[in-house]
Amino acid sequence: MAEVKTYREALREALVGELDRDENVVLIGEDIGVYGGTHLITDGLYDRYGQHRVIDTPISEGGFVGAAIGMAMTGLRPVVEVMTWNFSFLAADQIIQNAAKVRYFSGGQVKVPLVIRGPNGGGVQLSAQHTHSLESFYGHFPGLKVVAPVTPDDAKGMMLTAIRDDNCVIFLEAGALYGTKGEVTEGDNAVPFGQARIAREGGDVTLVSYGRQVALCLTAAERLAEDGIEAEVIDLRSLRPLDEETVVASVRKTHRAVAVQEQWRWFGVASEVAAIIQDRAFDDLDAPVERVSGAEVPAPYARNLEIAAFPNADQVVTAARRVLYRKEG
Amino acid sequence: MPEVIMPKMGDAMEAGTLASWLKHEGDQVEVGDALAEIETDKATMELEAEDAGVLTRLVAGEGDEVAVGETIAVISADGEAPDAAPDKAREVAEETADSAGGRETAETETAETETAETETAETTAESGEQGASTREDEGRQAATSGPERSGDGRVRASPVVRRLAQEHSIELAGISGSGPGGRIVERDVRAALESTEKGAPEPSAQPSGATGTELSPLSRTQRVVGERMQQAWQAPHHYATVEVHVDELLALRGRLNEALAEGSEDDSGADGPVRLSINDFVMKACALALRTFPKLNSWRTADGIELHQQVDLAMAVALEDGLITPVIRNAAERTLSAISTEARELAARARSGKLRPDEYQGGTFTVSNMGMYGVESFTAIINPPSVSIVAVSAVGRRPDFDATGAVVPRSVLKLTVGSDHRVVNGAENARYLAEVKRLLEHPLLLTV
Repeated sequence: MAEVKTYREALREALVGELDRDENVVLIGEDIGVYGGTHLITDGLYDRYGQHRVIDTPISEGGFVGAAIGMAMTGLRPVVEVMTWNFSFLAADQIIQNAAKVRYFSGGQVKVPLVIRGPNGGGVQLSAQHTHSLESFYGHFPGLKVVAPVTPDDAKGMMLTAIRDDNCVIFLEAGALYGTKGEVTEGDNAVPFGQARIAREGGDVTLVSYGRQVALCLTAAERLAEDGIEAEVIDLRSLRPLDEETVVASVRKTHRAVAVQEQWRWFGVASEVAAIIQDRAFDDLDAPVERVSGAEVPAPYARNLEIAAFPNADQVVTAARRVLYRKEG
Repeated sequence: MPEVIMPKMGDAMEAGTLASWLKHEGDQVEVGDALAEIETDKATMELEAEDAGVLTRLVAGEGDEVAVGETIAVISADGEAPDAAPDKAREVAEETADSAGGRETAETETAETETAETETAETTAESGEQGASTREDEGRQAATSGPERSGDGRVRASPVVRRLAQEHSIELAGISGSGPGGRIVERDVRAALESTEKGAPEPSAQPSGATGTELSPLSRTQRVVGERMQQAWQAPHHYATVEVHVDELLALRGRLNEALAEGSEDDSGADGPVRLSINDFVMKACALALRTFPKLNSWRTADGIELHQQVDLAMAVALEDGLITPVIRNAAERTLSAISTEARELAARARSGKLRPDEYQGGTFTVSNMGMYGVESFTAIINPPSVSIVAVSAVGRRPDFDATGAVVPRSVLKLTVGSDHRVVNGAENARYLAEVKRLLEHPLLLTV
C-alpha cells in the first residue's frame, strides 16, 4: 500500500510513528513547537504531544544540541532540528567532540541514540552563508552516520531507521524538495543504512549521486537515452556507511562512471566514489571516473548565478559522453 | 640539462623504436646534428639534436621501443656538470660543497625545494578556483595530450581493455586506439575481437620446423599492415572495370617528354628532367574526376561520412615486407609535372624507409599501379578511412574495331575502381570510372 505524499509529510509521518511507538522519542529545536517549525515539518506535533516531547529552544545551537546529546546519553532518543545545516557549525564542537566520541570513550557503555536533522544544500536563493552541503564534512568523522534521502518514501523509511539507531545520525534532508511528492509506503518501511537504491537501470554508464542530484541524473539519463545510451542511476542515499557493492557491481557492468554532487569538488563524496571505483573495479574501467560538482565559489545569491554555480543535467550528459568517448550528439 | 625525448612524428604515433645511434656517449653535438635513427610503424627517420652540448648519456638502447615523450638521451650544455651517474653527481655536489665552505649548497637546495612547493600550492589553488566540470576537463585533457605514462614502451589502454586482451589472448600492439592520446578503449578492442572472430587474422597453424624451412617473426610493419589490411578487408567492396584507349595519351606523353628533355638540357639540375609516366596521367585524371564525384573522395568515420574537397592522393608503393601509401597533396590542383616529380621523390624515399608519418597519412583516395609487372587487370583493397581505390594495369596492344568497323591496332589500359559499398553505390562507381576514362582518352584535358 502506498499513498502519494510530500517529502515534508513523509518526514512528519516518520516522526509521528516513532513518537507514538516509543515514549523516549522527543523532538527539540528552534521554533519547532508552537510555531510548527520553519519548514513546517513538525507542524501540529506540539498540540498533539505537548511541550515535554516537542521542545522549543532558544537560538543557541551549541546549547540545544549539547542538551540533546546529554538526553541521548541518559536514555532518551532525541530528534534535533537544526533550522538549516548551516547553523550546525555552531554546534559542530558538540557533534564532533561529544556525539561522535562518547560511545568510544566509554568503551561502548554510553550510547548516543540521537538524530540531528534539517535541510541541506542549496537551490533556493539563500546565498553563501545559508548554502552548504555538509555530507563530506560530517561524513569524515568516525562515530557519525550520514544519510541523505531524496524520495519521500526514503525520507520516511530512513528517518525510522535513524531514530532506532543507537548512534548519532546526521540526517541531511533535501531542503529544496520538501514540497515534492512521491509514493510513500504505509506503515513501517524502515530502510536499512548502507544500501544504495538503483533509481534507473542501464548498461552503458553509471551515474552515482544522492540527494537532490539524483533527479538531475535521471533527467540526464533520459536525454542520453534519446541517443541510445542507457545510464544506470544509483542513489547512494546512505553516505556513511556507503554501499560500495552496488556501485562496484554497476561499474563492473557498465565500465564507466560519473559521480555527481552539489557540493564542491575538492574532498567531496564524488571523489570518494571515484576512489572506491578505481580501488575495487580498476580492471573493469574503460575511462577515468568523471566528477560533476558545484562551482568553486561561495554560493551566489542572484538566481542566474546560483543556477550556474550548481551542477546541471547538461554537465552530467557531457561527462557521460566523455567517459563513453562519444562526441556531443 | 636538456633531455632528448622520443618525438611524436605523426598523429597516431605512440612509441618508436630506436633503430640505431648515430652519435656516441661523450660526443659533442650541435643543434641539427642527427643523433639517432627512429623507426615508427612505417618509416625510419633521423632524430636531430635541438640543443648543443655533450651527449652525456644514452638512455635508450638500440632496438628499444620507447613511448612518445620519454627520455632517450641527455645532452649537457658545455661546462655543465653531467648527471650521468649518481656517484658522479655526488662527487660534483661534494666538490661544490667543499669549495663553498660546507652548508651553502644544502641551503640552496632547501630554498629551491620550498619554491617548488609554493608553486605546487599555487597550482592547486588555481585548480581549486575552477568550477564546473567543463573547465576541469580542459585541464585534464591538456594533461593527457602531453607526454604522460611511464616509458618501457607501454601501450596506452584502459584497464578493461587490458583485461579483455588477456582473456582473449590478443595483442594490444596491433590495435589502434580511438581514445584521447591514442588510448585503446573498450570499443576498439571489441571491434578487434569481432574482426578476429570473423576473419581470424591470427594464423592458428604452427611452424613445421622442418629442414628447408626458415621462420622469420613478424616485423612491426608486417604486424601493423596485416592488422589494417584485415580491417580494410571487412568493408564490403564493389568493383567496376573499364578499358581505356590510350593511343592518344601515349602520343601526347611522348611529345611532352621529348620537349621536357630538350628544355632541361641547359639545366644542370641534379634532379634531371621531368619524365611523365602513364601513372602520372592516371593519377591526375583520377584526382580531377573526383571533383565531379566527391563521394569517392571521403572518409568513413565513427561519426559519419566526411566529404573532402581537396584530393590528397595516396599512391601505393610496395616495400620489402609490406606496403606504404605516400600522399600527393591537393593532386587535382597540381600540374602533371608537379605530380610526376613529387610521386618519384616520395616513392624513392618510401623504398628507403625515410618517409615522415605526415607524408603517408591522411590520404583521401588511393591509386595502386601494377602496370610495371605486366598485370592485365586486378582489384585492390580500399585504404581506410578513405573509401575508394583505383587499380591500374599494364598498357596492352590489341586489334580493335574503329567507328567504321575496320580493324585497327589499339593501345589499351584497364582500370578497376574498388569502393566501400556502404558509402559509394555501384552506379556512382561506374559513372566515376567513365569520367576517368573520358579524361584519359582526351588527355589534353589533363593539361589545362
